[in-house]
Amino acid sequence: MRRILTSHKAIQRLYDAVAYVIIAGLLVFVLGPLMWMGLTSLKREQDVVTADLQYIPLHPTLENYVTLWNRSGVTTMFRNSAVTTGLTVSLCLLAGTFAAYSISRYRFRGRGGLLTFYLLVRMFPVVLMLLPLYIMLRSIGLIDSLFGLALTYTTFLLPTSLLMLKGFFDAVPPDLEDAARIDGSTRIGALFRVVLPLARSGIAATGVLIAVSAWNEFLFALMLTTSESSRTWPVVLQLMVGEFQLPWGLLAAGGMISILPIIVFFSFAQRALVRGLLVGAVKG
Amino acid sequence: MTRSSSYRVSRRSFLKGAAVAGAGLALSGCALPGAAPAAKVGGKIDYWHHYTSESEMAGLKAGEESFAKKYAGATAASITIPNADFMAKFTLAVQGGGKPDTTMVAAARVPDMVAMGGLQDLTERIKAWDQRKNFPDWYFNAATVNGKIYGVPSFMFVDWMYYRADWFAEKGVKPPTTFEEMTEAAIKMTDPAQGRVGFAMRGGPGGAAMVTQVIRAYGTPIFQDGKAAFDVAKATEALKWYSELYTKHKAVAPSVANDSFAQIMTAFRTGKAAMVWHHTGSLVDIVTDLGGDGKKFLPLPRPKGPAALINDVTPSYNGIVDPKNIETSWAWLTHWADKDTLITLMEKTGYVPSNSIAAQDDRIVKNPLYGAAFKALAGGTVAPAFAGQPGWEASVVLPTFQRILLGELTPAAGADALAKGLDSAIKGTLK
Repeated sequence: MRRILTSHKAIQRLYDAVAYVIIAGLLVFVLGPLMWMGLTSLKREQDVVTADLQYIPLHPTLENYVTLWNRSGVTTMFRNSAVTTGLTVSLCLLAGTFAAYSISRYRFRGRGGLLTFYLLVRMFPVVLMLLPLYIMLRSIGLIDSLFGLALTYTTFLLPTSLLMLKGFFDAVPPDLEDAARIDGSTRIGALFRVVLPLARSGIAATGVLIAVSAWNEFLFALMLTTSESSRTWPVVLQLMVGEFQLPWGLLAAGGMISILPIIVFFSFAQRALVRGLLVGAVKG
Repeated sequence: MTRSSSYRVSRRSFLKGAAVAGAGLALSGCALPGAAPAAKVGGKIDYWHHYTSESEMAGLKAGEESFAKKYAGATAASITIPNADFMAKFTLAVQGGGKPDTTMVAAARVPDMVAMGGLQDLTERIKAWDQRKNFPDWYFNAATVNGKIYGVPSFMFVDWMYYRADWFAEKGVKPPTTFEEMTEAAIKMTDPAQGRVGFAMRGGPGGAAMVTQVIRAYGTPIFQDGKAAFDVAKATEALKWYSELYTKHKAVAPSVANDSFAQIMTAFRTGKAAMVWHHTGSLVDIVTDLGGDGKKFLPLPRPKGPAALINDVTPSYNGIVDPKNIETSWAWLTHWADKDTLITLMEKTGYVPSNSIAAQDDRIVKNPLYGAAFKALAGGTVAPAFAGQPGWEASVVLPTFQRILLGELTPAAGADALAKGLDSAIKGTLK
């Protein structure tokens, strides 16, 4: 009996070891490029392109960060990204919350068709939408503006946020709202006082995903904006790639700066995000 | 006190005098060459370009400042668009009604930009332009569509090759002047023990232009007099020679089918390749790494093929897209063809001026590194251009050549595929 238990333990240990090796391998695969980018950002340009590979910077410097930050327009474009992301998250959450709640709670004709339509919007290659969006934004004077860009992002991110939020609202028992209404609350009152507080983790998770998508978006930012006053951070990074020159150090510094807000955002919203993503995962 | 009648001015005589003076002023204005158009130069125009590097931006800024000094009250707002996305953004702006005033025009893009109605006809203005005599006729060829000129040449990309002068000297090998000599040199310079290859071949993105140049060097012009001029047998020989540098002689890096500008230039700059083909645009970077004293590297015109010496000179043009402020736009275009503006740009970037007066300037002529560029420029050739060419190069030439490199196609089958693709591209049916 003891021998069987020992052999079970040994097998378990072996499985654990294999699992750890696989996880470590995956971590190297995932974190390796990030570490490489971080190390490159601390190298001088002449230490980046060398005959013998340097893993650790021999002359670590913050020169790339300083040069990048002092470049004309860089701070403006960083701010533009923050504003556009903030506007997009606000628009998506505002419209998405009400739309998702309606679809979750009401049974009306065309409800299923509406959901399919939202999914359909996501199925088109976004590049096909460029020309009509360009013409529409131009005709209402929103081309080359942060609000126009945020509105564009909203058209593509709203369906995702709506479908996510609908799932979170579905997980809130309608009986709680009914109880509130029996106590004299209106439908809107029940939404704000009962449903939204219960679904706040899900709303936070949706907000984080929208923010990440809006922060990293490049195609629309390039095509629908022209001036420095409305271009965003991913465009700045792309503009650093010269046709005949590649400033690896600067690009790496730009990459590190661009992931910084996302890391900060995640660290604050991490608990809510995980809780939100797990809502409805376990019933009972 | 009375006033003499001779000094008395009646209303009629005042009006007469004013009319005569006005007419005189108007006539004097007409008599001054250039005075009338100069009066119309003013306001703000925008300029789309694909300069991105720090050196290019420094050259552009210097040009903007001298323009503002030359034309008081006129300013140009430069908008950077990454080269890879330039045509997508330009097409969107033209189709969507948000045209810029002026734009940089790469030679290969002229037919497509004209076809979509994105460029204004400048033929008459160029004919009447006082600097026209400083530009050889052929500089305008790539900007001419159906006899109309759509661009003013600014700077030139002059194709050449760079080679490691120190390694060639060590091994006692002469720099190659023909394709055969290049094969021999590439084989001799390849040294796996030292991690060196003879030639940094661009078989990845952007490599199609080199393939078509080799094909033309074998005597088939690809496109001539408005129709296809593609000899499959000669193209087969060309593809065979070029691909065998890798498939047979192994004088090229094994990653060739994926190697783009960054890889080939890094290989040369870090001492992994003995020769590389590019143009004058990369000189500044190479000098930074290998020095400009000619000890480690030297530039040289490309080697001659069996039938022709192909040293493509690619002018970069500027064109007018939206004519709403055409005088200021024209002033901007001619400013970027001006000798002093171009020399300043060259000093910042290494790009060769198109204005022949600038090319005779001491600052250029006395720079030994530019000797090869002007040698190449003297016998320079212009790549064929036709609507659909960028698509043919990207979706037919490059993947076909990559398949030959990988052994999936023979050079003969590859040449057949190129011919068929060319036919479709010209007909506009290429998928």
